[in-house]
Amino acid sequence: MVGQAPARPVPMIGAGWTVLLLMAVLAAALISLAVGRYPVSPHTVFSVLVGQLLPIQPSWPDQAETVIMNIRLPRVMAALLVGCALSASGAAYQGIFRNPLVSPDILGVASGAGAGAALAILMGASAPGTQMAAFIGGIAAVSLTFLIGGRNKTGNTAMTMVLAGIMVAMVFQALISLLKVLADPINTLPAITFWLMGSLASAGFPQLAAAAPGCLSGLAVLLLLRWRLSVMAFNDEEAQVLGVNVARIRLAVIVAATLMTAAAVAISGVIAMVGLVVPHLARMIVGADFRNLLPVSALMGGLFMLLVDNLARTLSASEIPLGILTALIGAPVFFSLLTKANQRG
Amino acid sequence: MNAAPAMIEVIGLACGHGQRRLVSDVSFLLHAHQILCLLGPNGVGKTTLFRTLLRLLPPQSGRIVIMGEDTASWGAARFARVVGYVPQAHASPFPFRVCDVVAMGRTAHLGVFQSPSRNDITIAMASLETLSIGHLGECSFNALSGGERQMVLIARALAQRPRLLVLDEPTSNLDFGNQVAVLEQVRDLAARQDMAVIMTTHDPNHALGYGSAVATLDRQGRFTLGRPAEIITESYLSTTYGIRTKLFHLAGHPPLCLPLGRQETAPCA
Repeated sequence: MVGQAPARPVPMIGAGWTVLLLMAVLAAALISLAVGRYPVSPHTVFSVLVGQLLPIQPSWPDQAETVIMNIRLPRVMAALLVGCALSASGAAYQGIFRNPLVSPDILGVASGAGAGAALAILMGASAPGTQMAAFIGGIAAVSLTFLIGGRNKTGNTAMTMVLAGIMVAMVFQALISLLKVLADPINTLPAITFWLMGSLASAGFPQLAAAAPGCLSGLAVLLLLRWRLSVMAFNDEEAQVLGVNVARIRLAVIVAATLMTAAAVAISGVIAMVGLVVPHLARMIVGADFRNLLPVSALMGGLFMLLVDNLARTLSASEIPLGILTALIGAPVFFSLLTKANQRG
Repeated sequence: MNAAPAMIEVIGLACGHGQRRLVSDVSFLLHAHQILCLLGPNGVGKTTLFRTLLRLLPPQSGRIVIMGEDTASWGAARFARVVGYVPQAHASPFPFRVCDVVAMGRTAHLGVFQSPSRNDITIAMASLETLSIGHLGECSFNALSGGERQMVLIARALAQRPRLLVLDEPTSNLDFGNQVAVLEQVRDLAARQDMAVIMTTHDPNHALGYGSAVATLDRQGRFTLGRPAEIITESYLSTTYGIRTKLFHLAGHPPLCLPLGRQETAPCA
């Protein structure tokens, strides 16, 4: 495109950004524990955290400790986990499909999870039951996409997979609509609607414990395969000739990324934009190499989710659904950065 | 033919998509330092033959033997440690740095979970230096010109440390100067390094000027092999492409062909 323009050097900055973001995430987590309806000073937050590890005399009210340890800490950790998982899996999906417009929902995982959750809520399931149903629904939708689109013999597997994913998502969206029609408009319909807009209001340690294994094991697999991901993102047919077992790596990445997304969506509900926008921002900063892109995407996603969730629980008297905030904040941020990057490039 | 061991020997290869056969009876033998140019009009199965040689398509019959071993049972990584592939210059949907792109040539030498080591980066940078483009290492691949991208993709194949270099129309989309630069570089590599080269081209002059052997595919899927001057004749060019040509023989220079215009009766009508 640029033709004769002089090539712009891209400095090597991945490791520096990872360390910087790690510190920013820690600082943001401490601040997040302090803010909320029941204000606590950062000093008290620090003392309470230290008090969990060292036998020091409590100089704070019991109520502060309960709020920090039992309500805010699991929620902060859940926000970090969900943001990490959605962004890292978004980056992986974009790489594997060689398309920067792909989001983690490309294979239907969010629609499947939504349908699973809606069904569980309709049948009066508990919160853990809804989480489990959403996880199973997400995995089921992607498996279906894989069964339909993954058996293409003529070559362009990525394209047929994406098309199959769109079709499967449509079917599950229709199922969600059907379940909404059947739902009781007084109790279950608002619950379904609220779940579909995304929230971490009910995130406690049990939910966190259920979501963490899927998210973290998926992330571990992606981190292990980061170089193969780079080679395939550059060009998947050439990756084959460069010695990558493309079919096998693609399968492993899709399984890992789907596991992460399904586990994250099951705890948070459907959250728009994060898995699409954050990998973009990360790529603008550190480039497309997954050795830098994966850790930076994951940390930026966690940070973004944490900040948005703080707004969700502090902006108004009642919780604002996360999906609404991520879209309202994410879209203009994304657009302004994109136009800025275009002006520079 | 010289006494060096054959880098690649192709025996009775037939290829096509599914049941449909496009090319058959492909047999040739290539030694180190030799350049085989594959020539043929559009749509005769050149790409299919190429993809079969690179094992992106399964052969319908026949064998590909590299350095005395049948490659049928080889995995992707083992094949990539011996065969380097240079695609036509293209852009990537994502912004990769040049040195990372070249380091991708080391992938076949790494474990599944491994990233390039310091040593691999050194090899990648050395490949760039071999082609005198070391200064591009830190640039963004997508910001380069077509000629520079082609050179970077050649450097990536060199980083594989291959014994056989396979280039797909390395001069397509390049300006006049870059075409010569890339071809000279390929000839240099073949002369200096212990490897054989296969490349496709649309320009008979490239085959005449740079090929040690020329293979042609005609519209019936027939494969013909020979020395450049024996294969590329005025009658070959007129029957294959339907144009009148004149071959010039200059002293101290490979023959040159000059197209004079279309024939009155097209051969494929």
